[in-house]
Amino acid sequence: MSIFGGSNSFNQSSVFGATATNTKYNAMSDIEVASPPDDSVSCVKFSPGTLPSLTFLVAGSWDHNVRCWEVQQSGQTIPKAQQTHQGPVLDVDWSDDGTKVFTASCDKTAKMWDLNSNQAIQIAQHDAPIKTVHWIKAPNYSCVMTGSWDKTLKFWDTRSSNPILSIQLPERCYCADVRYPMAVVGTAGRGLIIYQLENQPQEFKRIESPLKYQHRCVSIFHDKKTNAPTGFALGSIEGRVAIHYVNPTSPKDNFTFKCHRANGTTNGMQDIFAVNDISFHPAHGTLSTVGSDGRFSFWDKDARTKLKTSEQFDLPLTSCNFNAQGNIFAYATSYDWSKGHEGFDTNLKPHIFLRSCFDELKPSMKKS
Amino acid sequence: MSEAPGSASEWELSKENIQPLRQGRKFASLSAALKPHDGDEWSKIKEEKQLFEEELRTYSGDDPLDVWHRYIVWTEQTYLKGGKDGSLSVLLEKCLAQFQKVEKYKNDERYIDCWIKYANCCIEPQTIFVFMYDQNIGSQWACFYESWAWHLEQLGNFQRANSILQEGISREAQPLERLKRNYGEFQMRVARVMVSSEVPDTSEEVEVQRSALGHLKTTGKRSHVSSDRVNSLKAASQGGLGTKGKPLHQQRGQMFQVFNDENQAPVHSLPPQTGEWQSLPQRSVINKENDQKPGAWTKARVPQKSGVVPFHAVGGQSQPTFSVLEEDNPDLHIFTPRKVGDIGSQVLSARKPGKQMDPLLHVRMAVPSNSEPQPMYCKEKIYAGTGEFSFEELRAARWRKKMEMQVLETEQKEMKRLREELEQQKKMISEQSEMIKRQREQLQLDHEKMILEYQQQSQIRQIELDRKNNSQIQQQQEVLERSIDSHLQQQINSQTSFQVMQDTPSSNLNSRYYAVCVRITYCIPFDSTQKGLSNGTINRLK
Repeated sequence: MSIFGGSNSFNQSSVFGATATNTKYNAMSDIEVASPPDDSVSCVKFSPGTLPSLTFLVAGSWDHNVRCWEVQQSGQTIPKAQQTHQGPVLDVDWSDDGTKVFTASCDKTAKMWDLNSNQAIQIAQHDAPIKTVHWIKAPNYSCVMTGSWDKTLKFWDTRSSNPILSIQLPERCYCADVRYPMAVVGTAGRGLIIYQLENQPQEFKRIESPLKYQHRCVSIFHDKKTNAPTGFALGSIEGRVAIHYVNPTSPKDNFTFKCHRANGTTNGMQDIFAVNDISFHPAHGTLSTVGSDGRFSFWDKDARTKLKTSEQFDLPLTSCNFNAQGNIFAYATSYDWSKGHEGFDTNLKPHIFLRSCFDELKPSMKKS
Repeated sequence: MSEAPGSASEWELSKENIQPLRQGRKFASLSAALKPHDGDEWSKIKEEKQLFEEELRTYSGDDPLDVWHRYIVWTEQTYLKGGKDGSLSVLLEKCLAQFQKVEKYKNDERYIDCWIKYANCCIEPQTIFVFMYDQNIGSQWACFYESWAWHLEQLGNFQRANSILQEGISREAQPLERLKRNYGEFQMRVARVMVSSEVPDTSEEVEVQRSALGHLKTTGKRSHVSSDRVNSLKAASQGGLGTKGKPLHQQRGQMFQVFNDENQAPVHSLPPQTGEWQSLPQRSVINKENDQKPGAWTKARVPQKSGVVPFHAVGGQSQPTFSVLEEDNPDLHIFTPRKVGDIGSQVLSARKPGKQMDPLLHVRMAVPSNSEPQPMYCKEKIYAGTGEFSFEELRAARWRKKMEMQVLETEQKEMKRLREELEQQKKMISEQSEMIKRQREQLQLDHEKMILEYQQQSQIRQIELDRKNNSQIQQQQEVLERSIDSHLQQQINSQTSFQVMQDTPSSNLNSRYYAVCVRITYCIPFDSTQKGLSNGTINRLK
């Protein structure tokens, strides 16, 4: 039976037998991924939908490892392979054909991991840790884009040790996303630059940030009709997400909304948490956000409504992703360093959970 | 004209771009900072800045001010133009705000230094000094009184400057010697100013000379200039560029008489330190009476009295047509919401010039109000210094530090291991040498023993040999004696046959004696020849 099918009324116990007694670490009673990373999870990503019958999940972690699982339709996860870096892994991405995984690390290198041969080779080198890695597949070229804290954005042919292009950034790269033919990079000092990737990567325009505080995550979304990338959602360190169209038809199209805030325990002060990751649903165009508050939320940006908010987990949520079909939502719970090393509780172990989500992310019918 | 060497000429060319510092600048950092902003030097500066920013966030020792102070001094030395360039004032504000409640820094020289630096970049340094005095910040340091007095002296407020320096001396601010010397110099300066203001321009008369860019006084129809150009210039010198280096306040003193309230308490007594000044002073609070109160612009009227308005100014009308507005409720105080500059980002438009900012606005501790949202992350670490850091960067910095420590540790371990190995080898070698030494000693001993044994043996052998020889000799002697005896006997026998009547025993004795004598005189060796010899002897004897 398919657990990620149309209905979300499955019972976890049917898969794993007994339910866990401690519900705080798994507040939504979702499916746990087997043998999760030992340290904080920096990034989770599903394989592209080129092999519809097979779904893989990779996760990069601060324990220097990248792990790969096969996700079966029953919800069972089978650890398949893993690779190691010299430092914490900060980002991962898949090649478009789903045969290779690219990994970026604090050891200032990026690697290409061939899953068929289980061989990893270094493909990029920076002067500082690499924060983002993305695969670009254009009709006339394909390359890997790496963004680093050394204030450069570099493009690599995977066979050469020299970059085919290096772009100077105004500040350290904090977040990036790529959907051909568009790339967007968020930097320190609230910099925001859009690149167009046709023919060759080129700066398209710089945007004044719609947010007041540090950029933390960015995700590109598509236009529903043309299916071309038209804008992006930008997450802030202080509980806010900006929806920004590159060419808005009206200035009112762009807006920001508050999220990952809670009524504090004392005097009704509002507590604001960082938005750690944003992911768009491939079919519905709705989005999910995960935050330092240990919750995930689903949103409909067109209806400007919240679809759902999760219960609170015992750890912050650091990363989230939808699979290609849009029926599985993966999210990782682990410490995100939002309270410095003083806030690091080594007793709380990181987890990755899978949730059947297709119906939960259907756009709101109230307004259309 | 000789070309000055590289860096010196560079400094000559951009002198006016450098903000002078009272304590001066280091030439090395000056020339480095003057290099074009795209070279290696500049990227090195950026790198250094990044390192400072990282250190601010990862410092874990018990003296966090140290990093801040080093960073501030470095910024001051590196960013020459002052002002917004290096965000020095932002740094200072953050530093002061962070350590304001830390008791141990209240009289720390570095912290006081930061305060003084901050006062120097403020529009109204007095406010800062008064606040410091009230809060007892830096009251033990001479530099506090010196800087305060210096600022007052610049304003021409000598009396107050004097009282402040005196206060410093009476409190025995450290270093006291320097403060006293500065006080003496201050008094000298004041005296000089007093003298020069009372007897104007006496010095000017003596060294009068022709200066550039002055008008020359002409005489006659053809406007000839006389040959005495120095004196003719003097009269016109007011119009030219002044060459007098007189400070502004001297002249100001001459312009008008300062009102002196005679009933007032002596000026030089400083206000008592109440310590009540809990909230940091806002400019609007201290300077209340000098600020115009905001009101509705559309209804604003200039309060005028009809009698004062000159006739021509109102265009022939003797009475104004409008009514003068008397403010009904002058206490109504509406503040337009002030937008606080977004700290740490320069993306938004630059601050407008001349806008009066409250000097202590950013230093004031933000009092969290109940309704305000609370950021639930380590904001002070993210936005420390002038830049921002992400969570991952903080964590990576920590990770790197740990890795470096690990590398260091493994290196140390390796070193220790090597050292131990060396030590062991040394020990082994020393043991071996000991063993060798012992062996040698043993050998020596053996050798000696052997020698001794040998000697003993040889002695024994000698003795044996001697004994043997002796016995042989004895034997031979005996044999010889016997044979001599027998010969003698024979001779005696034969003699007795001839001289029987002679005294037999004596002749017998004589002959024996003779034989012994023969043997001795011939020195007959006791050897194989002995027999022959003895035979010979015997034969001869015969």
